[in-house]
Amino acid sequence: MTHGTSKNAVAIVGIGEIPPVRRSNQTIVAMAVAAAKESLDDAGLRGSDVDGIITEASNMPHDVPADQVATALGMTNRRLTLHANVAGAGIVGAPLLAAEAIRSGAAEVVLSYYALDWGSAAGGPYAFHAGDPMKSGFEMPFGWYGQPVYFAAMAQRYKHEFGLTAEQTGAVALAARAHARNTPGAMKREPLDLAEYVANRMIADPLRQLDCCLLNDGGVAFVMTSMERARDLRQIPVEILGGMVASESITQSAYFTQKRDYLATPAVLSGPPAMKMAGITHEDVDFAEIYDCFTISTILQLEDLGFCNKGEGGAFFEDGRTGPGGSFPVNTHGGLLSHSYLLAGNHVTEAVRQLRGDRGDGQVPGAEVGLVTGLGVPDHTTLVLGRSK
Amino acid sequence: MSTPNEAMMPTMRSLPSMTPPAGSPITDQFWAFVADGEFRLPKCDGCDNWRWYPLPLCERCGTPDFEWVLAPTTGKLFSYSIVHHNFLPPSGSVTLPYLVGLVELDDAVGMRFVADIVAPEGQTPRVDDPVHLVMTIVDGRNLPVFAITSGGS
Repeated sequence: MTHGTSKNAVAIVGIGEIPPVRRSNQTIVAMAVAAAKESLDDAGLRGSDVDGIITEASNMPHDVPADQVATALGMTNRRLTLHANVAGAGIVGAPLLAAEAIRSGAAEVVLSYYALDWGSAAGGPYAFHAGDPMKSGFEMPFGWYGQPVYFAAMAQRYKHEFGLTAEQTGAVALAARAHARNTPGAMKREPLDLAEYVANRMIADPLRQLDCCLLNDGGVAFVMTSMERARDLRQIPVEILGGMVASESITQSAYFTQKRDYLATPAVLSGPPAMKMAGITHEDVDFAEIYDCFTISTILQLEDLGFCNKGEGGAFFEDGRTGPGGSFPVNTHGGLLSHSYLLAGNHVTEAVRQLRGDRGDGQVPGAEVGLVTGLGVPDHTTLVLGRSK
Repeated sequence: MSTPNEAMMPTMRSLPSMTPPAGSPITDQFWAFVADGEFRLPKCDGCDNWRWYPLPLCERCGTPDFEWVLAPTTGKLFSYSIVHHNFLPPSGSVTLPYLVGLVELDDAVGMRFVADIVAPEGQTPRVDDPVHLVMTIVDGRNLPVFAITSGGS
């Protein structure tokens, strides 16, 4: 396995992150611009150095117009602007599109950003589902509303088919919290033990509050360029080794109620080709930042990526290997469960920090290859990043 | 481990009350049939497919048209959750906890119907429980509700 030796290697060269808070008094555009500016400063680049913007398509186009970000940053040479894929799959997939754009010559330096104001916006994270007539007409009147309900039914079916205990879902939450305790800027850093988890209030059985991702405002950004250019910049380049964005053939409307393979995620479609493109096996992965909107979805994706068989994910977390110092660290910043809910844009920045060797007490020793996933139904991205030599 | 949470079971009173939002002809049609006491679902004119949720073309045979057919009134509980938090917007109200689930209707392969579920007093719902339709009045409006058939699965 080689890094950075391909003439066509592309790297992440700068990252930015606005400290996530429950409610910000900044606008979503201001947060995106601030994160983007930080990523440019991190790279040692100016706005005029950046000629491309690539980000996700579901929230960003209306909430954070690319023209506003570009103009605010002084992007006088903007050429390429693309929005692609849904939510987490879109922002985690952006580096993959950026790599293709840079390799083809469509752009030389590409900026991605993601900002969120669901901590302070009316209706919160549930509201965008309410805008779907299929959901507002055929689901909400029955009380099938709120992402925790969608995932709770998934967990209940999983429990029926494979067994799922509070100790197992608790293990996912506890490992995330243990990592967050080693992460400056993580929103939830108080210690958490199993007794507290079990006593935590039930939201939608079997999911407790601690099984659900956080709610907050914030922003992240990253900048990509060719490995050749990257070597002249400020940071250790983190190579985009490979990845895949895949979509299940079902509508977003119907995904949570109608999908045939109810206990799989579209990670089954993105994972294998991503690892093949990167030229890695499961044993090569030193850590994984998994889109942990809920403890159950974390378990399902680990299974779908092939780190264990379907039905074994609960035990995989229960044996402690995913926590700090474990043999397979997962969500080394605390994830969406304990770090912040930034749709895994924060999982990309965390993976970059790990691969730069910048994580201090939270460093995975010898981290060379990291995997990041992003979910935005029916899309899913698996992204493979590597420390450059 | 048992917790205080597990002692809270939904009751017959725990049915959400929410006027279905108007604005989509397809959803408006579903609720118009329900108001008339009929549980109808869209079935493809070109094949056996239940068009759920309806799209401009049948995903199996490509036929645009479908018919609102009287749907099966029995089925199995595919999954469910006992919900302890009210996520509904102000236009909806519900007594917590309530029980909502996915029903696989008999002879309607390939689709699942979201429905409120009621269990006989003292009976815990379980996946694969047989269920049957009970058209119920909530705040003066018909609501299709699926009741777990006594004795369970």
